[in-house]
Amino acid sequence: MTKLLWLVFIILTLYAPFVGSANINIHEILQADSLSSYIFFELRVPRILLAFFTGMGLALAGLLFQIIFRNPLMTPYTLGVSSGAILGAGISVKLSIGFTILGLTATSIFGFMGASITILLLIVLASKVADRGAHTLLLLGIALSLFYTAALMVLFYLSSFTQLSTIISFTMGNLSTVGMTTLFYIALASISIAVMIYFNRHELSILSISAEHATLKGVNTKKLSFILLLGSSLAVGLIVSITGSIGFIGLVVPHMMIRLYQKSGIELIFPIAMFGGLFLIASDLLARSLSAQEIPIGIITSFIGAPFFIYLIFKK
Amino acid sequence: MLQLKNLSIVYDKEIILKDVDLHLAKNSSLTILGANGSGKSSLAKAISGLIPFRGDIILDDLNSHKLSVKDRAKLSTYIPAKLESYDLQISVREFILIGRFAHKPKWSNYSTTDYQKVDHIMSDLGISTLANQALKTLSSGQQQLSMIAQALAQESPLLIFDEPTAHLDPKNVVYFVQIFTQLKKRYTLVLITHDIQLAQVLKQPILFIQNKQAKLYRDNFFKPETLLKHYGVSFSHNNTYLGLDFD
Repeated sequence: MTKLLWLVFIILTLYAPFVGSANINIHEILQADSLSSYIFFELRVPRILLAFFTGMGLALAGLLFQIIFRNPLMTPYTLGVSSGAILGAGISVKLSIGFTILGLTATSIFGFMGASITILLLIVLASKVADRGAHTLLLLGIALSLFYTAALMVLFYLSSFTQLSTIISFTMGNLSTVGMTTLFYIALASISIAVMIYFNRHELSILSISAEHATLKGVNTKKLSFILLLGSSLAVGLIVSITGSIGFIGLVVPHMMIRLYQKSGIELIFPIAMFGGLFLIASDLLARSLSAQEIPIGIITSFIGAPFFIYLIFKK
Repeated sequence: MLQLKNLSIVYDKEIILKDVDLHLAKNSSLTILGANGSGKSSLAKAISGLIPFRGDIILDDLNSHKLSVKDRAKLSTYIPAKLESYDLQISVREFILIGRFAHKPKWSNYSTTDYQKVDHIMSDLGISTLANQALKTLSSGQQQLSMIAQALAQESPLLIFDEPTAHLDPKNVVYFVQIFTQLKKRYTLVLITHDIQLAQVLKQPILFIQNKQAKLYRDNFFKPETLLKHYGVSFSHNNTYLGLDFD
């Protein structure tokens, strides 16, 4: 079962670069200067790498949030970090701000700021309701998301037609904005999350039992949670500020791997990272091949993730 | 080993305990008794650094206010009545290994010595066969033993047991008392319980908590008139009811 799952997803990944709106001639791929070679190496492969690192980062951030809050429904997405990024990006589009810093567009930078402000807000709020359990924070995240959505609706209302289509594509997630610089940023963000988790794996393993238990065994839980939440949220902020909103990866992937391997989440850092990447590549493949026109990736992941979210609530 | 000076605990603006003073010598032991909600667990949690307090707690001549979380874990640990865990997949061996965390240098893995200590403790407590089982599959008694094993791996000289027999069947209660008696030689032990029979069997000084105050009894606690005063119900020595035989 486990092997079959991996096999299917690896085959899909290898198949993915050959699928797209333009047909490529397999014999020409290795010929320099051919159109097929350009599409394959300059467009398709970077896009697959982008999908891989995005999925990896979002899956690992989900794992981290679930351990820190000890709740399977916690992810940066369910807490409103993505909504914050979209609102930030939306504001920059509406105000027609068009600068670029270090290869990042104003939309990305505003998106990053939106995500960062959201997480700082959540950390402040979390410290106020720390003794009321993770569900309170989850509700706060949902309330924040609803508020952001309302603000986004105002932007929609005020925007011109072209502005509108830009904002909407960001809302639904978009992996086509590929360039080597953005790929670099997303890889950097995802690898940082992986490094943060790996170097704190022993602490996180104890925190997976309970915060009280971790304190008794010598883990400074407050400091650890603060640093990891802030660090991983900034990384997620960077990812979603480029790709737009891609939901539910952080919810679905860690849970699937824990069920599959019957091990603690923290012992599955590598499978979760890999499967997060492959899962998003497969979702992107679906998005590109279901219809003649590409379906936004965020819609695909939400169609899979939202029912899964409901399933998780009932399973508890 | 443990000294409490003017210790007060306030939670949600309500005073739980007021001005508790106590001196517990190394390798001595103490039983804490008191009604439900009298603040027994709060006292234990304050000593273990889980909840804030006023006054001073001195662990092994070090003031608790100045201890890092890690250093405190090397001095004392608290064993709750029941283990609450979010992660249900962790194996017993990995769980006990967590006791070694405070002794492990940061960034490094657990050493072979750590694993050896864990295996040794498991065989001492007779739970070696459970090593690879998931913690969630264990019975209450086995979980209790795993928590004790983890506390022993932690090598902190002060161990605080909170209601250790609350979820145990009679056989495991007797086994627990055997283990506890063994530990008395090497550890400073504090045991919180509701079970007066257990307290009587252990023959330790009693710290009785009532009306936010703590009073120490070296002996004379189990006289019927004292018990009546403390618990508001009468106790009598008779053989009408069946009592558990701990010998």
